[in-house]
Amino acid sequence: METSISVSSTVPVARRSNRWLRRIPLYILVLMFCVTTAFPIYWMIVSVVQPVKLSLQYPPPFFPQAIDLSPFQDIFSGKDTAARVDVWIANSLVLASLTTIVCLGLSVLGAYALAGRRWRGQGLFGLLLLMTQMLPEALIVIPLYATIDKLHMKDSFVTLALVDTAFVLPICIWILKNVFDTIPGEIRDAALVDGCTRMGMLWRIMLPISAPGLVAVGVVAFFHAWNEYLFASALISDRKLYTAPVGLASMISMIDTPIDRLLAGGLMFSIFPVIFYLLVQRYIVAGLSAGAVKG
Amino acid sequence: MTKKSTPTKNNISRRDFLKIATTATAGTASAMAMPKIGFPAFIRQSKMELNFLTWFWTEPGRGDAWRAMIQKFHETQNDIHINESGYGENDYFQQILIQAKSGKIDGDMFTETPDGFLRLMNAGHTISLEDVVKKAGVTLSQAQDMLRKDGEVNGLDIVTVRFGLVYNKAMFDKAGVGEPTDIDNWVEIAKTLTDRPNQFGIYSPHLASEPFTVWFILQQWAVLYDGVWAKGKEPQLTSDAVINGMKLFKTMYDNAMPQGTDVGTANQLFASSKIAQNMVVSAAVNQWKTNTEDPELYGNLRSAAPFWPGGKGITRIHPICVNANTEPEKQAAAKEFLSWLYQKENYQELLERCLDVIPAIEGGIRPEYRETLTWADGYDATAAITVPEVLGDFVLFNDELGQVVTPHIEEILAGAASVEDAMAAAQTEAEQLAERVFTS
Amino acid sequence: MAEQAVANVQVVNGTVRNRRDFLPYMLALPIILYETIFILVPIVQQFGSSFTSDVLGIGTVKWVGLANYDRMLHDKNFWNSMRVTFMFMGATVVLSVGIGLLSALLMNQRFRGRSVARAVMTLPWAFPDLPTVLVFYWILNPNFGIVNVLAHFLLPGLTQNPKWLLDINLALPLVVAIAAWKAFPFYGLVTLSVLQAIPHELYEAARVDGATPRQSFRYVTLPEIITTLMLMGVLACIFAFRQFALIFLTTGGGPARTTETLVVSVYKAAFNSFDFSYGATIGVAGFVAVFSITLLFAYLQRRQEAEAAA
Repeated sequence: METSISVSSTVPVARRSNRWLRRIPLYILVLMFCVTTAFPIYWMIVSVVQPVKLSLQYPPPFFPQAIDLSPFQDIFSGKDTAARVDVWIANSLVLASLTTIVCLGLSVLGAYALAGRRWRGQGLFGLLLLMTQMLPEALIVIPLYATIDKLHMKDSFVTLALVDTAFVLPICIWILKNVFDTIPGEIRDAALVDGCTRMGMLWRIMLPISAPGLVAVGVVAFFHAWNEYLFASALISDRKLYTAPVGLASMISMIDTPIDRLLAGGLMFSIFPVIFYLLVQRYIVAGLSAGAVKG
Repeated sequence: MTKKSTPTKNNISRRDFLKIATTATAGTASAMAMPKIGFPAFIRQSKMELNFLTWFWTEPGRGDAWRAMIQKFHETQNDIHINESGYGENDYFQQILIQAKSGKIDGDMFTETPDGFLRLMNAGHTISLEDVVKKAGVTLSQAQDMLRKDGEVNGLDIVTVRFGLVYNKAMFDKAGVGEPTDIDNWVEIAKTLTDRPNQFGIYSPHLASEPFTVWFILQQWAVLYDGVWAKGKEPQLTSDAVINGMKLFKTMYDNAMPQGTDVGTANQLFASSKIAQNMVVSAAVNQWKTNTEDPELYGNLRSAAPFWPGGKGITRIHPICVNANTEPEKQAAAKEFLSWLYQKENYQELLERCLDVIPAIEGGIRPEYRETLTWADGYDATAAITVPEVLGDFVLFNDELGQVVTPHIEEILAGAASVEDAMAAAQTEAEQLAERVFTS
Repeated sequence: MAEQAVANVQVVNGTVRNRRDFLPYMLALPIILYETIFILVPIVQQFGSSFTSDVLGIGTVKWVGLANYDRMLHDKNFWNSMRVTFMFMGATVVLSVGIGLLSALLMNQRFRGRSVARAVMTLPWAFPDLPTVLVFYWILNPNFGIVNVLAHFLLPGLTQNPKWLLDINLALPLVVAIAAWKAFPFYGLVTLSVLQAIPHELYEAARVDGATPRQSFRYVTLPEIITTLMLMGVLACIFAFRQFALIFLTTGGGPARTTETLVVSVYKAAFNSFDFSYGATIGVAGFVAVFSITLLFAYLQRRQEAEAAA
């Protein structure tokens, strides 16, 4: 930072503009990158706001030719409350929040166990966590459904949040472990010497320092639950409790898909995680500081 | 629905219902069930709640028709309340399967496809509904014989659909073509109607991401040459009829279809008069009645009189069943509802609300109603061929056979293999399938 | 209390191993129990069924020994899925981690509008699967898709629209591209967090020594991030292996099984063919395959770390 300021203050004006010129490729590269990544999202918006029949021609217009927001009206105002996108999104919010909470709690425990000093069986614990990530959900859904059905725990967001957590927990532990690892040993030692218990240190010292890491973990867990489809569709049969992915999938029925409404629903479904992400985005890089300390 | 009972309501059903319940629970179950059900209505405040598991709720037109009928049922009595339960059609069969696999389907009544039904009946998830038919006092159509187990009907057809060719008469008139006279003529007509990318002659599903729909409709393309996909345990994938059917499909795909278009988008294109013909089941027509894109469309729809050899259309029966694994008193209540529904007047009303054309019981369709359906003549003139006839013993393995066939169809459409080679490969795989499933 | 604290300090310093330290076990136990209940027990049940014949509505469940495995080894569709899985995994991992690295290097530059660019670049991460599939379907439609405009612009000789997802040769690359579009931001953000932790003095020193940007990347940046890249490689492999929704919703494994990965096969066997046993059998095979790869990666990483330390 300081060096760059001192450098730029000593360069003559001509060389400074030269530097600007040299940065043009960078700007072009960034711009191309942004356009490529953002285009599908832009295209979704264009396809939703204009009447579908305008999108169904070739070449499709690059900018919306007319605005028709009636699909939004349709998806929010159906008589059948179980078929309304706002209801589904509210359900998804509940589910994703629950999952985030459960996952945060458990991943703090797991990460604290893995961070810092080594213990016998630590490697095995890590391997177990990694292993659970390699199993296709399709294999687990049948036996899990049978158990949950026997326990009469179906149609519950708590159950679903517990299941979703099981699948996202290992990656969350991994992220948080790396964050904990970045906390200098001196801080921990100082706390312990001051008479903190180790749980007290976790609570009072490590968690506040790791706040961005907790945000990152929260985002990962939130996105997972927001997206999860297979278990949600198996474990929720009450139509009033449909989460957004299940609800949207139910719109894709065999002989009739209201394609404009489906796209509108898809867009509404995307808005929440996108806004959530934009709000917490600046904490995430700090939170994901995995590997900043090796291992 | 309504909390207060009005004097006009018919309360005798309560007694009938108890009577049936008592009969149904006779035997070992009665000891458990009787005390519960024996309470007078004023003590047992809560209604009998029934979960009705079906994909209809998300089906435009049909969902509303069923809601109206159930509302009507709720108004006629006070003891049984039916709740909506289920999934969208794409998901439904998989969900039922997970549930069946774990021991019990999660609904007191459920609907199924013909092949799915046979599978669940074999696995013991259905019960006999003979007493319902007797009570409703109706005669079932011959086609429902496939729903019988040991002579007793285990499911009641609530929507029969038949394949046919639906076309947009306005587009035909504009292009100066009439109904096809034979298959070659049909291909010419489809070509004439195609002007890519603005207009397409015909649509039939072909995407790998929609394998069930593809297979479901593909079956009819072999029937267009009076063929079947299997005889008994022997697959017929290399028979002339199947080969010709697939060649026809490929020709139409190459020359007249909006390639790469999913069913939903194709429906949109059809609704905005960009697709002229659709090989679909009669039930699909209902969705275009409520079409807002083009209010004229429904009036322009016709179904072609059969011009293909044999003139047959696959006819699919979708039964409603009572869950064998639910409580006996719920089974009794479900039967009570079905007896009401299957009374001739109620059945007729359901059929009309659903805009269906093929009745499951004798006299199930009112002539006055039938006359209003300008699009149904072709469907009526098409001869029925049932799913077990088309698939032989593979009817129990419909989806498995479909999974053998559809990847090879994709190969054909992509031009990666000739029809003969692809179907020969499919035949080999189907024979392996037969060996595996029929000998175990 | 003070005594305990002293003991702990010693442990932290790594000089003494405290044998009575149960805390990590107490912390790990709930996690182990949790994962056991929700994942391990069901999976063991399911793996057990790979030794049975369990097809819904057909006969009863019976022990068949290794019959399902025998069938699998002779099933050319299984070997096809194996091949597709590795192609998909390889391509997705390289593409998403590579683009992730590239995006991280860009985001690590200082330029006007950096925070906006960073948000835009990483947005696909927040975009859910189902809408992703819907919009790519729309973009890739051979008749109306905007991608055709691009194709005709880039390849003026093109007479017909490509068939995109229906094309046997294009389907897999397209699915990989969609998966990478969705996955790279995560790897990009992780890499960026590491890049930002690299002390500035290192670059300064390299510059003083006259290193070109390429050399400073090779000798300063790369050694700092290589561990993270390896770790992400493992994660990316696992995620790519498990990727189901995107593939299944976009192509359903087709056309002609060209995108049918093992996970899609498992799903199809279990839910489309109702053959739970065979689905479980393929699942076991897939698990063994991906587990071996992970072990290999872990081994390589160990060795790399040892080399770095030496």
